[in-house]
Amino acid sequence: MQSEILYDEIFDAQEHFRLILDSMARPGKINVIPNLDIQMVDGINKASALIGFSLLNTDASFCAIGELSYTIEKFITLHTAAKIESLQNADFVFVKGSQSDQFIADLKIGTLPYPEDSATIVLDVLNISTEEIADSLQLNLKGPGIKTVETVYVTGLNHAIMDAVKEQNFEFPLGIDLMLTDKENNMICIPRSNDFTYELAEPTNKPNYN
Amino acid sequence: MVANIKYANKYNFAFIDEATKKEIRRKLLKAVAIPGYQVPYSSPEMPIARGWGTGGLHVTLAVIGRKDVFKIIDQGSDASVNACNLREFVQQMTNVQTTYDTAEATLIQTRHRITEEELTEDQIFVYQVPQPEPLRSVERYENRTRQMHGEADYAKMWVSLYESFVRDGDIMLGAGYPVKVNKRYIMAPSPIPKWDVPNLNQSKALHLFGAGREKRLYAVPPYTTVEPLEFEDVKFHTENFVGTECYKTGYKKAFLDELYFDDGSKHFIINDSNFLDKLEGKAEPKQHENKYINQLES
Repeated sequence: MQSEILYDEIFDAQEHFRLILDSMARPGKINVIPNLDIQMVDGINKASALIGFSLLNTDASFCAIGELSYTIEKFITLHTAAKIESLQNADFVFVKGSQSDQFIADLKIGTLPYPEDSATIVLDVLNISTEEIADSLQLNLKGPGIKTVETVYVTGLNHAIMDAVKEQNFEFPLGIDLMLTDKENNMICIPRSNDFTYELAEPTNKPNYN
Repeated sequence: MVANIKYANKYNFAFIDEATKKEIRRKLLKAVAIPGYQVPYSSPEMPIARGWGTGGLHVTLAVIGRKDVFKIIDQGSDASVNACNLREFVQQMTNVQTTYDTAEATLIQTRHRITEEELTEDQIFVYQVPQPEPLRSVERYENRTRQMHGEADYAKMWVSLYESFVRDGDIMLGAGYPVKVNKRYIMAPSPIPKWDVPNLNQSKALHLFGAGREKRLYAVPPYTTVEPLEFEDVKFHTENFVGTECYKTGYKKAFLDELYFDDGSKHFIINDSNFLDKLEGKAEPKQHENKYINQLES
């Protein structure tokens, strides 16, 4: 295990965990993970890496899929000593929001007596905002932690992933928990207890066929 | 000379080692994601015996940071033995600011009560739980209760409540009255009195429960439906303090303790020490609101 000089394993990990806990308890609440000047690799958002740093150690397993997954796995395991596992057995899965939804059916969702034995997806998207942004996916979140409805706009997220997660979470308490991060270190969490719907944005620049 | 700071502190920040903290943190996130479900965890050794508040301490020490303001109560009081000792321990291990003031605290640990003053969105409320399994009184074996929770098969629980009513004319559960969280899991809300149970419903704060001896963690996120179990014709009710009032403040709408003076006379006093102090200081702390408290006259 190699220590990142600018990452404090006690106080940074604690501070980031509190933000994750707050986001998980209040789905759709955007928390910003403080920007640390750590050495990064390509292919993963800094906030996703910091989530990994704060939650993973040798007792937890993870895997990364998609482009540059080998680099990302090497990077995270170097800093946390977490075990690299197959998709079917991983506790945490690092993946890009543009990924196709095929992988979700392979993730573990727990058993009825032990529903916590399930995967958490850390999803890299481009932007997370409470204000509408162009070409975004509008997430309407409802459920524990939310007073009425929480609306968040996300870009760079394949909506098929949300469909697949919804299908896996159908048989609550079985399911998958989501953490979304963007390029600006914003983060939201969507626990399996959440009953979300989404709306696709109207395409802003329609092709002109005249 | 290079100053030796590595061993300046005998203990790691917040006592527990970082590997174990991470384990507790991962379990806490799962507990929040599945409201009311009991997540097994490591329950590491503490300098106090299991069953004396270690579960609450584990949760507190896993979430606490340098900026937190910590309050701890035992039976509503900041000054009772369990609270004083644990406060001193947490303070020595983390050097955080501690307080008696409910409104000022960001992290509140409790044994047996929810504060009378309303909690805010910025607060985390931690419970020390002696018996996390509400079904233990009707089913002895852990694998069976897990199966019952998994299948939401709560028939035995309902029958036991019915039997209690038939036998005694009321549901004779004073503390730890079973509740249904998010319309799914039945949960034991730690031994808080029935008075406090409605305050869990749609609460603004995050509630985390730690049972150290039984090695279980669970949680109630903010704005979550928490319903006490009740029948169509036999309703849940809170403790009845009709005809009594706090002898110091004359206040009627709070959970009261019974006191006997040396001359044998009986008096009542507000149980929550900080709430009592504030009322005596003519402050007007904002109380929890629920339909059971609201119908009382002040």
